[in-house]
Amino acid sequence: MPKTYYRDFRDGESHRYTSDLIHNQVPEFMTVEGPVLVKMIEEYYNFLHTGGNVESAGKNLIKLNDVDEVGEYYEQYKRDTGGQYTSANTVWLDSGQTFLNSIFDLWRDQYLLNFPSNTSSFVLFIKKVLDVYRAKGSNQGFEALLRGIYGLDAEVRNPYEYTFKPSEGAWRFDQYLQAIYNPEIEKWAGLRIYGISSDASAIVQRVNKKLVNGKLIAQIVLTDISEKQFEQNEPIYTLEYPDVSIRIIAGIQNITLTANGSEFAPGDIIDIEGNGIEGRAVVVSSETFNGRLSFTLSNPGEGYRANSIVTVSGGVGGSGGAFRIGGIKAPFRIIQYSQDQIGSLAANSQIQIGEANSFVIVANSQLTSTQVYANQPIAGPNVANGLNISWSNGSNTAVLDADVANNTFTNGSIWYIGNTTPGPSGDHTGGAGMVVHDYDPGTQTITFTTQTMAAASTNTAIIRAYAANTAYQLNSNLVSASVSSTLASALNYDTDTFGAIDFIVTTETGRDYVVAPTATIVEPTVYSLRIPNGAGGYLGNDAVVDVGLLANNVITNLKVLDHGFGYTNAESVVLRSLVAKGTDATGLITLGGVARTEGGWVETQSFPSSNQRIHDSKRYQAFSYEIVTEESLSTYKKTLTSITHPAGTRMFGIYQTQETSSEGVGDTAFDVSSYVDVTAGSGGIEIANNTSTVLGLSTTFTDDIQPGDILTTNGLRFVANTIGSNISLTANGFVGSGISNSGVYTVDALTVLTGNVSISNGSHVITGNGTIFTNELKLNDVIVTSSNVRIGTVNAVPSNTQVRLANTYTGDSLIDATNIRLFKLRTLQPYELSGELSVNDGNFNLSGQFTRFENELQTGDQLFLGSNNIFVGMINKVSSNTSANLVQTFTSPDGTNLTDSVMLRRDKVSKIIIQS
Amino acid sequence: MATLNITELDFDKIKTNIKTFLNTTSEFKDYDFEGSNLSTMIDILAYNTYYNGYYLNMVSNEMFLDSAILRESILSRAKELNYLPGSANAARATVNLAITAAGGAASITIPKGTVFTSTVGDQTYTFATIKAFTALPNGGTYIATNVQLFEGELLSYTFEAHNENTPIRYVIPNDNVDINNISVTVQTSASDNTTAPYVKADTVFNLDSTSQIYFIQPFAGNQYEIVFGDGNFGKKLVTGNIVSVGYCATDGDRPNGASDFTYVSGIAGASAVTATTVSAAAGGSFEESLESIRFNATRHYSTQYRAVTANDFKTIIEQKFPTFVSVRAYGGEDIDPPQYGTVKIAIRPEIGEVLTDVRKQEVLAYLKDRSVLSIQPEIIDPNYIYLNLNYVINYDPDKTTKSGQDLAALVTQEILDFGATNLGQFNASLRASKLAAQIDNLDRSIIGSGGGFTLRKRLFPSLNTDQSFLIQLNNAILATDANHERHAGHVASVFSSAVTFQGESSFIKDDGNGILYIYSTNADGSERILDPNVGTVDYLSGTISINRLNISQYQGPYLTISARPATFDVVPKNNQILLIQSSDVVTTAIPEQNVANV
Repeated sequence: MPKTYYRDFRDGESHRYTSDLIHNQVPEFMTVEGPVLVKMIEEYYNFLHTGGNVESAGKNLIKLNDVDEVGEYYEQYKRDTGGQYTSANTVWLDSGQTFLNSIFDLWRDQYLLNFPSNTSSFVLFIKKVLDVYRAKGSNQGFEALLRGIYGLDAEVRNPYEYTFKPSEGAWRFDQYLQAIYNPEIEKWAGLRIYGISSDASAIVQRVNKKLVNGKLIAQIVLTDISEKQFEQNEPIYTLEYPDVSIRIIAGIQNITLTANGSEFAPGDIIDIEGNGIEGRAVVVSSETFNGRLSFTLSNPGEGYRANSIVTVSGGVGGSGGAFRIGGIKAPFRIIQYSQDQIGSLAANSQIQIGEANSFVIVANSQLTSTQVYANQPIAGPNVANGLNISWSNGSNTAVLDADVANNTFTNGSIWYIGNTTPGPSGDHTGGAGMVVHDYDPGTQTITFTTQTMAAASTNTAIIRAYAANTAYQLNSNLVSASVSSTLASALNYDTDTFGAIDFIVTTETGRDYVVAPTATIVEPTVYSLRIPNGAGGYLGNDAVVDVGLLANNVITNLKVLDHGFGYTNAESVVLRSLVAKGTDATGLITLGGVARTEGGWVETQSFPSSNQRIHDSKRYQAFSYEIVTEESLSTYKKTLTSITHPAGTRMFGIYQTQETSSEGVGDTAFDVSSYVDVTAGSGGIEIANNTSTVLGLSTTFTDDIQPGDILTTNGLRFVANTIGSNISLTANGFVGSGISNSGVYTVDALTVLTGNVSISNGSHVITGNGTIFTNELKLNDVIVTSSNVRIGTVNAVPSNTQVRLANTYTGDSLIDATNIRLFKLRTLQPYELSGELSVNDGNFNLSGQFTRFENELQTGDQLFLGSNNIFVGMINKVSSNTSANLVQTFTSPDGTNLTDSVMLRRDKVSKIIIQS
Repeated sequence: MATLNITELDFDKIKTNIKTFLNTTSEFKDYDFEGSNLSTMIDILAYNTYYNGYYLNMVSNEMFLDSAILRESILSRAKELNYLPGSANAARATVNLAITAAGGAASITIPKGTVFTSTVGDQTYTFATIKAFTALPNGGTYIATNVQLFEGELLSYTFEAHNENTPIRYVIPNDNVDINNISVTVQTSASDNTTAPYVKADTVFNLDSTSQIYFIQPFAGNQYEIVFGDGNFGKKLVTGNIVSVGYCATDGDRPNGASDFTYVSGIAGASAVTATTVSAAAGGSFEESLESIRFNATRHYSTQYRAVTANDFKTIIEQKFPTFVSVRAYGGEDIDPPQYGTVKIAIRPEIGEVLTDVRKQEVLAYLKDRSVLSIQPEIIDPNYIYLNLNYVINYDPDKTTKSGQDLAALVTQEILDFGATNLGQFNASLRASKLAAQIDNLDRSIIGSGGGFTLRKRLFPSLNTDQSFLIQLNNAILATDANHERHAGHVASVFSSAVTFQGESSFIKDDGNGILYIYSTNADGSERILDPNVGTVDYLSGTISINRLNISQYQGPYLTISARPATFDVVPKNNQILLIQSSDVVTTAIPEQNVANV
């Protein structure tokens, strides 16, 4: 009999069938007299409980309300019958399917209004449809429906996100502290930190790691920062982990300009180059001087007063530059002697008040010394104690034993001959002194008007100017009116105060100078006294003013945009414009407070860009959405409209197909042997069926073959793996029928690279020593070690000594390894990308190194890192082979930026059709 | 309605199956079941199987909403879907009352339960107020305006709460209760007269353990049950509480149309009460039909009390306001030009052509808590398009005793019935072939029928001022005379009723090239163009634009603009409703023998 669909609901229970009860239910005489009738009744009830007939169906009626039971029942029966339409089960399967559809239709009419009859996840939706109804209008709702009904992966986007919105400009930046990284800090996320000395506090949002000049720095990103400021080098802690305390590196509080540079314009972004990284500032203001001058007091001099004479002279092309003395510091007064009281001093003799060999120091018009000396000679090698002289008794001439300045002696000046004892007691001239008649610097000869007298024991002595080195005691303030000493009455106190120049004031910068003039400041009163300043100059003429020719567009004010990482307090930094045009500025850093990043716009929708569209009252407006899936809109529009489409909005469908594959990305699972090409050839070895053992006949494998060599025979090529003996080896990459005594085989040894190579575990950069990579390697070459361990696939060959791989090397680190071999040219898979990628967390922009974006990427492609399947983003626009941007910002899984990352793959968009 | 067959119900197949089965057994494999005795036994067994199978099928069908037949089963399934089937609705009328009373009181109270009667046909119905009104003195009488009367008898029923062991169920013992007009109060106990009013809750939102609320759910038959809170959602009754339920038992739709109301009793001190009808009784209906429950329960379930899709808006409005004749909702994206962010809701009310502003606000307030925040619902009025039919039937006088006039009247009524049944709703299209089929089958003497119809829009222009009108029929207009010069006898696709323009009786019509002009007719029948261009016609989209029309008079209560549709089917769009009114139907019956001469 044909089977029917009424057969057994999935009945695991041991129900007793009615047929089993018949013999007990009929009168005994019937079992005796009518056994056939009884049997017939029993068989009738057997009929009823088989094939899903009344009894069977009745017993399982309750299960009709269980969607799982019904569905599984049908599936079970299909399995029982092999799921194939045969003459034995066709009726059942057909009618069973009809029955199942009937049940499902009833459920659909009851729970799944407007769902199509071929809903993929029908049974699940019956149970979970409330989830869908409650999520109607949401992205989840759409995605669940498309998956559940059509089995489609879908993405629902809101085009309004990419619509130009003029009012949404809002700037946000991270504020943070830095510290030497400590894993314990990671626990601080979400906690409030406190500064031990400042009492400042803030909440830690997250902790990022940053490698700065070889040091791992923790970036502690903060919010809810207190008014009190964290201090540089201050320990901070949390209440939750009181045992963990770190010292912070504060942000850049200030940069004091030490050189203003040139050709900066307001708004220019400046890299702060120093011990840290990523610091940035912006020029707030700059100034253009048009050949103006700057006057800088580099030596304040001595012996000046406010009205000393300032002279600006020389220079080319301009005029008008001027300055004046702004103030005098360390003032003193000039004391002039009275010749009547002290006698006639020789020319250039000086009155010195104070310690010997130093000039008067007057503070607040008070003498700081109690001794006053008549001045010493002003020149000569032994000026401290007088001038050594030799003469002949009774002669009018004497000879100095050392060179003395020509102007030391003037005719008529009086000198005394004596010994080294200061004062009149050392006078050997009998108090009259010797009057100079003439002095010849060429012969060092002095001619006096009178004859010299004999010395006490020698014809050598020293001569001193009148009163030189004579000390007089002063016990009172020289400037006070009560000074009554003899010397005091002999001195004339100048009423002016002289001193060092405290500062100068530019009164006119002038303009149009091409070559800067020079500037001098002379105080004639003091300078006329020729008072040495101890540095080869004279007071009143020893101040130095540098005249600078001011550059154009010098920085006058700047603001730190991004505090960067790793800068140190009081560090001198170079301030360099990102677009260098003039000279760099320099400055000194002061750390303090919380650092902050350059920041970015919270929304970029108020900025014209390749991501933003103009409101078009259709797709790019507030009430639209688009469904991206691999199916035409017409397939699902009606269903979604009736189930989940929010009235008042417009639905767009984006039909998009894409190729998805990550297999073998970056060549991580690359099996050397599997990539051997099979090419024609001849050979002479023997291989049994389905074995990797190669037997040689009269061969010398150990001499002729190295592991990794390619053996070719009878149209097959394979790689020698291990060499067992002269007549036995194992081969990778050989699968197939054996070769019986091929007679001839060839060996192709792999090409050995010149030189030594080094690479660390986890790196993708090979460095060479004595290598000629550019000659020997090409893109996608695979290189292996001497023992056939794969190193990687060549991604780029920047130089003869550097190779960058498409994968990270994961073997033991190689140091100057030799016998590195080129295995073969490997073809880049369509989903693999060349080069290395860099992109910052939260940024749109991709920058590539050795990349070929223009050839390998297009708008809509989805970019991944194949190594761990990190989703980088969807390509919005490719600008060049090394530059592209994303539709949305890159969100790093761990908050770190991608830097020169390899193993890139894409899910390629092959077709996009926008439907509405 | 779907049906489910879980067992075979074909007697012959059952019989064959039994015989086939027995043939597979070793005991009976060689038996001839066609023999008389065995055949009789097999018949008996087959009948037994059939009866059991039939019963089983019936039971299984009652398990699903779409296949159930019994009301109890349908209500049970609806309950699972949290759907409350609509009860009977009392017809409502609005009257102004003039009350004569002595005593000079400052006002007279018309209490809840004031009784009136009205007659429809030969049946008298009772109407009553369900809340109190106040009449104020005006001249020698007291006047109360806009007093709402509800048809039905005001009844009450009292329960004593009993929560322990065998909690009682608060079933309102009446099949015709209007659950929209129920009042529930709970007295603390027989010894404590403190009472508290309870209000109906539709959802569990915003409820707590002290909320004095009740739910209503269907009970057996047409009865409803009141369910109080469980102490979590809503205050739980305690044993001894006395529940008093006031309700209105109605006569459904029968009192609709009652317009003459007679005061019976209830107003203290009134010596005479005169009721002037403001609006006749309307909105009365019987309980929701089973088909309607099947239709609405699933939709209600899919809305989850949220107005997101256009269907959601329609469903929850119809659920909340069951007396609306028709509701249609559509998103602003379906309008030309689009109005994104809006949902247009067109409602045809039970009374009148448009919903009052008060009712519109009531609907919008209801939607406010259920619709998507940034989407603005907007209630719009229906756009009525009247069908003007000119129908001709040919009949065989030998096959009927009816006169041609009788047949014409019969056909006219059939057309009106067709309109009442198939049109008058949003989305209800005119299928001319179905109308023709109904007419052809109306009487055996009708041997053929045919006719034409126009789409007619009624305008109410101001006089002596420039006015513009945009009529969007959304159905293509027949372009009858595209290459025609304007001339007498020109068959227009668009034309108007008579207006007075520049002092002359004149008409508007199109020239076949999409231009509307105004003309008057000379004595010789020729046209005299008064204004060569007063608008345009877009035949394809069915859009008529009348620009700066300035008339001093129009004929009849309104100006009609008629258009000949391009097809025999007219499909309304958005807020359009097609209507057929008796004044728009002209039927001509032509006996067969005259056909050749026509």
